[in-house]
Amino acid sequence: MAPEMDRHEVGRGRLRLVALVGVGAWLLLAGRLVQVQGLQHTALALKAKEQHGRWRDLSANRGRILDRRGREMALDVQSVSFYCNPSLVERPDEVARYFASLRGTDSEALRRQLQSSQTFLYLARQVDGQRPSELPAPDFKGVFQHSETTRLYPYALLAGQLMGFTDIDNQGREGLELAFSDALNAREGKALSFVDGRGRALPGREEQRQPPVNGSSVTLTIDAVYQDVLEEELLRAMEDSGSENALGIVSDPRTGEILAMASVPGFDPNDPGASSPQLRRNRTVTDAYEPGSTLKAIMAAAVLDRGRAGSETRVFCENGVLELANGDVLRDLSPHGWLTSREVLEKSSNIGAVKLARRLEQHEFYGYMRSFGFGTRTGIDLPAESAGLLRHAREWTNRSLDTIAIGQEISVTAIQMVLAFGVIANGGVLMAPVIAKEVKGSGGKGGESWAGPQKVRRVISPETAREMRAILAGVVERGSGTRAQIRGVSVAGKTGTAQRARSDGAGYAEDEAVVSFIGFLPADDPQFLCLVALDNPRRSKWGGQAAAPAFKRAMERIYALAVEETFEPKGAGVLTGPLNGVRRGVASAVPDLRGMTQALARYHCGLRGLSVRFSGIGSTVVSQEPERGESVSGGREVACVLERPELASVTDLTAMPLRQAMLLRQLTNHKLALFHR
Amino acid sequence: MLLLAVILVGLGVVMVYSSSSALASDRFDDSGFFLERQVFRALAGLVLMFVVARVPLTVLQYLARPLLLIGLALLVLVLAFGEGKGAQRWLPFSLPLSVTMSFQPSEFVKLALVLYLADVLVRKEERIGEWASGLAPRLAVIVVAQCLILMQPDLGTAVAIGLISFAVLWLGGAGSLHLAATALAAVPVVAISLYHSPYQLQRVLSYFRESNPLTDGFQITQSLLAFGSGGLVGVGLGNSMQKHFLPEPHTDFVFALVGEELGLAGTLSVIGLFAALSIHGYRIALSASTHHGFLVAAGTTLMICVYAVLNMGVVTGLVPTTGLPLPFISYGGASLMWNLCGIGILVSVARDGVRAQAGHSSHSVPGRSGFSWRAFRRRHFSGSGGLTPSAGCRKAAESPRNLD
Repeated sequence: MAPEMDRHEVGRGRLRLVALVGVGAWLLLAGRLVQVQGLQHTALALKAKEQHGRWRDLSANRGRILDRRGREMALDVQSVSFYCNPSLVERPDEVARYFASLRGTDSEALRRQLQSSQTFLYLARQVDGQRPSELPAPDFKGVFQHSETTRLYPYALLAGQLMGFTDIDNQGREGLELAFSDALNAREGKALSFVDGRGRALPGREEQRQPPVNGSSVTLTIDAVYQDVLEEELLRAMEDSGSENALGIVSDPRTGEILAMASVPGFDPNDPGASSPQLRRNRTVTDAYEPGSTLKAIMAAAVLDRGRAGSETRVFCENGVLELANGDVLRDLSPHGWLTSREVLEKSSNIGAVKLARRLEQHEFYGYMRSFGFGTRTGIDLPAESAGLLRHAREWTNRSLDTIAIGQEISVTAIQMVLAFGVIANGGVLMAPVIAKEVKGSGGKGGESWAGPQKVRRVISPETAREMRAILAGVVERGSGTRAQIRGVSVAGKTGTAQRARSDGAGYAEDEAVVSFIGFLPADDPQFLCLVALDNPRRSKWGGQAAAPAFKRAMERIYALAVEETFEPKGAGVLTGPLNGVRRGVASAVPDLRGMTQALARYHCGLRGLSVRFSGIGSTVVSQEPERGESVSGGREVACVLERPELASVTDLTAMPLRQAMLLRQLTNHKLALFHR
Repeated sequence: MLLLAVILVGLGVVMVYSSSSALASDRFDDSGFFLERQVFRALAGLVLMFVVARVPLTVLQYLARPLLLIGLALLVLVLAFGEGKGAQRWLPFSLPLSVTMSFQPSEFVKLALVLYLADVLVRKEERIGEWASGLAPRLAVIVVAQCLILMQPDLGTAVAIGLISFAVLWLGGAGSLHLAATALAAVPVVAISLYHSPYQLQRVLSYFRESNPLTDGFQITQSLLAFGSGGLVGVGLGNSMQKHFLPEPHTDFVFALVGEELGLAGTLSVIGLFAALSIHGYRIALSASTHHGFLVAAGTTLMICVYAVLNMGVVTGLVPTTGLPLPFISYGGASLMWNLCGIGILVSVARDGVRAQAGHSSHSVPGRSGFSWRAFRRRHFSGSGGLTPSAGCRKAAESPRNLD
């Protein structure tokens, strides 16, 4: 009994000891918790927070570029891409069927791809996400999607160089996209999302910390319809004359607004990589050329303004041969005797021009040239503007005044020339060029409007300007520019032909020239001013023969549209060619999609409520069903066949509208002489 | 005692839901997946507790050896057919009502082992101070159980069972030196075991060196971040962020979630509850009417406390990581049920002690109480047994007949 008793007592004693140890353990744990939760709380909580949150960018759209009538010329569209890891897709048959129908391809091929051992597969790329509600959201396990933003230029080649383009990060790289980068750029928002240990976002636990701000939209002074007309006429003139390229500007001389600005051939900013950097330049501002005879009008304005001659002042034209100070001989095309100033311009006599110019001192002439804006950048809101070349009078040789008077030894940009002629057209004031009327922040907030026409300086007196307008009207009426006449409206203008400087810098290339015509209308109260310049025409060498008809055709149409607009202020005219009906409510007709990229075709179908399905491999639509112009009801599907551009058939090009054929030709890089007439 | 257990279980159910809902919706598309099971098991455990509380100790003593044998058999079975993450710890089996449950025999074995040791220590009381005839065979049984558990492998449970067993042996009068020597001998076994399973070694090593939060010490780092973010009063129920970072927030690391959601107040309360439970348990042991009751109560209390201390030690980074659940609170059916069963045993012992003090004060010398069905029937099925054991206790204590 005793040992039992002992053992029990020993046990009880030992249990008390164990209990004491136990209490010690509890206290130790409590102490540890006080340390961790009390003392280290701040540090640990901070560290924990760090791993819980993850910053996520909230996408915002780059601003739109609109023409003066609000037509979208550049905008962001959302697209969705679907991808998967084939081995993780649970129902490959269904997935294959769904995405094959989405892509309009064979589901069998997709199913085979899904059974392959590759670890990444795009199921569908850049599906139109503009109307996400209409896009069925497939809930396939193992299929993921990411949305991306694509910059879309709905009018494709129209005003391509003017628009410029954006890079892969949607940052402006050229043109307006670059010039208005600050305004157009969207500011991405920030959201703090909470993630789990594997970095996956927890649903419903996202806090927006900085709202995304869409870029401001920029409204241009450009009218897309005018632009379209100008580009089409430039293309036609280029083909007719066999020129290498052509450029043109239409402006309102009263305000300095640029209404259209084109250099052709153009490029498609939707796919900038497909064209050479050469084509992507907006040559109306980046390239300077020797203006030739068109400058005689500026020279004459200076002489008249200084009062050294009147329009009826006679100069002797040496019967066609004048020896210059350095011994060179200047010739007129046809010899003249005595001519009035007006006749000098009408007949575009080189010798007469030199004689008139010599009535000015060098520094006077130079001063006027600077005052007209030559030799300095106009400050237009476009990148890479050239200042042209006008040497200071101090650096002139003894024949510089003579040669500058006939538009040589000076190089100008098209925009400079337009503004300088604007001085004559608007009554003597150099206007600042305007390309953007309004920058409007998203949601109507912020932004700035154009403050109205900005005068740079008065250059010549209104009387001189009026006198010059009359002289230039005479040029069109009975001089070298008769081909620019437009029925029903008086046109004033001046032709110009200048030899191109040889590429090696040694003098002029004998048979290469820039021919141009610049004019305005109505001659007595100018509303439109237009410059057309053709580079190196193979077939007609003279400005009057090649450029003036292009001016005429373009301005005839634009002026008609403008007259129409006075009755229909919302904007008249429709865009021609493949763009026919865009934004103008011709919703029932199937657009001509041939030559378009996938994104573009989808956009134009989307505008009309049509869905579009692609088949074939490539980037360009080569055929479609239904055909263009067919009247269909909304919701109808248009089937397009894609091909690589180089495989595109060209046999039927002659049957296509000119503009569209040009577009296709540019896309396909076919060097075909299509328009021999 | 019951109240303490029920509070802990209640807290456990809440914390299991809070911590596992995300995990459950992720894995099973059902945020209540773990909650439903835990509630079901808690109810099952409570029923078991009330049943056991009414079973006299003598029955448990009688059943001790069969129970241990069953436990060991289950351990063998789990090695053969078991499942689990990286270690075979669970036995899947299906109940009617199409509830699939898995069963972790090691949880059962630890309780069976406590009962077995209490029984054998009382029966072989005189010889327990001796090595060869007294202690060694008992140790052999323990070691067999441990080895079976080690083979799963589950080092933590093996060590915990060793600790509990040694404590019970020591309380039962085994020589301190014998036990110390044996414990020393266990060190190389643990070392070899560590060597054979790199992940266990990794865990132990990560305890000793500056931890790299992304690899070996990830769990502990996340656990400490959870505690730390909780601060004094916590981030509030259900607001835990760390549950998305802790790999198994509802099981072994549930205490960290208590720390994060309820703060220092919550954790200290839990410790207080466990401390109160342990002190209550020791009191019951000390006032037990028999040596067997003493050992059973002490062993059961220790079983709960060792697990609680080790688990809390692990999650607070004081002890190398082992996969031990926190009794009552962690998700896990076996642990919950057998710990509640242990509470039932404690209640049973307490009633015996009260009865002994009140009615059989002359019987104060503890001895081997034999089991007789007649005595069992007389005690429990005649007279007015209350609805609950505690009520029964009180009634027994207040009964005038017993006071005489």
